[in-house]
Amino acid sequence: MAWEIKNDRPVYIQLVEELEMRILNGTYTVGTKLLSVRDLAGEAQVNPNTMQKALSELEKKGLISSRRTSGNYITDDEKLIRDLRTELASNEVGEFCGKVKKLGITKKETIELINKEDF
Amino acid sequence: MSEILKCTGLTKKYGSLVALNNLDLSVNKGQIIGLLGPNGSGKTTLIKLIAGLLKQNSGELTVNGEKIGINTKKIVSYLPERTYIPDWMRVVDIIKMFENFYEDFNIEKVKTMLDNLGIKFNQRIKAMSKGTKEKLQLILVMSREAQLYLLDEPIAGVDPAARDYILRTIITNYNPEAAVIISTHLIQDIETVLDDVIMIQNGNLKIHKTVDEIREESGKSVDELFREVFRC
Amino acid sequence: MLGKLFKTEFKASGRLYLPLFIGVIFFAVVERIMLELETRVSDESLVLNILFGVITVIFVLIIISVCVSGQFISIYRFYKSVFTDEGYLTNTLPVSSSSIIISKLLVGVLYTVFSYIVLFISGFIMVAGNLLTNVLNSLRITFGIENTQISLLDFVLSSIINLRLTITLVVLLIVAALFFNILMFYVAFAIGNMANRKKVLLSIIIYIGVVNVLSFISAGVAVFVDWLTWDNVLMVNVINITLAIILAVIVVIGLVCFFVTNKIIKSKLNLE
Repeated sequence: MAWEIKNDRPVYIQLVEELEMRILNGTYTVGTKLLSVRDLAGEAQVNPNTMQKALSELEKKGLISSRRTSGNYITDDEKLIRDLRTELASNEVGEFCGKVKKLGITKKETIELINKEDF
Repeated sequence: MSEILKCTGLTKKYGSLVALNNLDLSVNKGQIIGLLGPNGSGKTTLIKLIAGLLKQNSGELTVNGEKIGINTKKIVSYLPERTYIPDWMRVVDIIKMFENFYEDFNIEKVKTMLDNLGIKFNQRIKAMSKGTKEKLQLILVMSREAQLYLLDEPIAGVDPAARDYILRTIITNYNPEAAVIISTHLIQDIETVLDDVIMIQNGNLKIHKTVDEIREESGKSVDELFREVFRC
Repeated sequence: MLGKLFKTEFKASGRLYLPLFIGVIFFAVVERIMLELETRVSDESLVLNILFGVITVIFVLIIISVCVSGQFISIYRFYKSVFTDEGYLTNTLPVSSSSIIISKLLVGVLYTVFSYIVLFISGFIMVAGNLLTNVLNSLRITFGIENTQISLLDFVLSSIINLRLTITLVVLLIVAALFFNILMFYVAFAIGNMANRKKVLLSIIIYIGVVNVLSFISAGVAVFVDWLTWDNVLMVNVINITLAIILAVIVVIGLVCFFVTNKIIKSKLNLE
């Protein structure tokens, strides 16, 4: 479960993206408790303050709730997660289609290509 | 007061050579700071001044509001670049010594970390490899519940696996009441662990920003910015 | 903190001294046994003779080592723990520089005294028995002083009582010298450490300098005493005054050495 932090973008933004990804794709199960900020930071090899900043960002999005004495929990709002996943996925699809259309390909051909992919 | 370290107009000369020139610096509790600069830039001089091994020529230097002395040595945990444990000692001897002199020494932490790194109590320092000695020193330093940790090149002489362990230890050891100053030239490995970055050149403070500020403003990593700023 | 530093240094130095002490006493016993064998066994055994020779050589070497290392080990320990890499540990301990110096000085003096005691014990092992009975017998010899008979033992005892001031001064002088000898090296190392290059050379120069200062002052004291030897001043008083002056000089210079060393370690430390 290695965290890949790239060099040229702010660390905390990359943490937000990675945490979001893990919540959306179910790596972090709905409703479960996250590791402590320190342990998460240790796993990701990042500064705890930066990790905290990222977690606060996710709290604002509603993906995480922080309970004072017991720590951070993934939301159990499955609809929120599904909606967010759909939103992000459709952004990617939109971008993808935009690129692919420039090549002059048809919708039918595109769908055929997609069907060949493993999901 | 959230300030753990404060320098004002700090100057240190070795004869006519100016190692630190009128340095102003402030470090708050709960921060992990990177002290970066080429060799001879004054990093080690600054650290030695804070540790109490040197006296400044002019300027003020306080830790937790106090001048450097016995009281600051009680709350500052220093890891020098060198091996300072006497050769003839065994691991258990140096542990007893730390326990004896430092009230904030946490013996349970030491035992856990020694276990993790496979270092036995009755090993002789003389028989250890350089890497193992460095790991041992780091364990001793990090096992103190100090208020300011000074780490001078903590990962330079260590293999990559141990490097990861050391960085993870620094992170999981995090205490919002304490600060860590890491002096290193291995910026790439350590960048993401830092809050603030302080770059020193020829005894002068060049840059003092957070890692993310640098990345946002310059679009580069701290490592890349460093190479640019200090290009030979 | 002084107690902790003392204990730590005591153990660290003990590692170096103890083998030497045990070695000396062991070889003293062996040598003594060989000596007895030599005199009793009339058989000119070659093996025995060679063995005796070898053991004697080892014994003499160890005795010399103890004499030399008595102080050498102590000053080596001071140098190593304060001015080399180990100094990064010693000088960042939450203790004052003066307690560092005092604890190591006390340990050094203590072990120097121990080494003399050990030498004395080995000597005793060598001569115990015949010579001892001879000495004890001689104490019972009586001789005459001005028409009264007095035994040697009584004479020695009464002299001690009469000369108690002198003897006290001599004892104090010996103690002061023990401390002072070591302090001279401490200050030499401390001043040498301040230099950036040729530290050893500077240390040697400082040491020679201090020795010369002491010699110069001693010469001055000798001149003074000579002037003091009036006809109507008792010899014993002259001796006492001389001893007292030398004692004072040693104590003063010793204190100066201490304060200089302390100041250097506190503010002018120059670890590489």
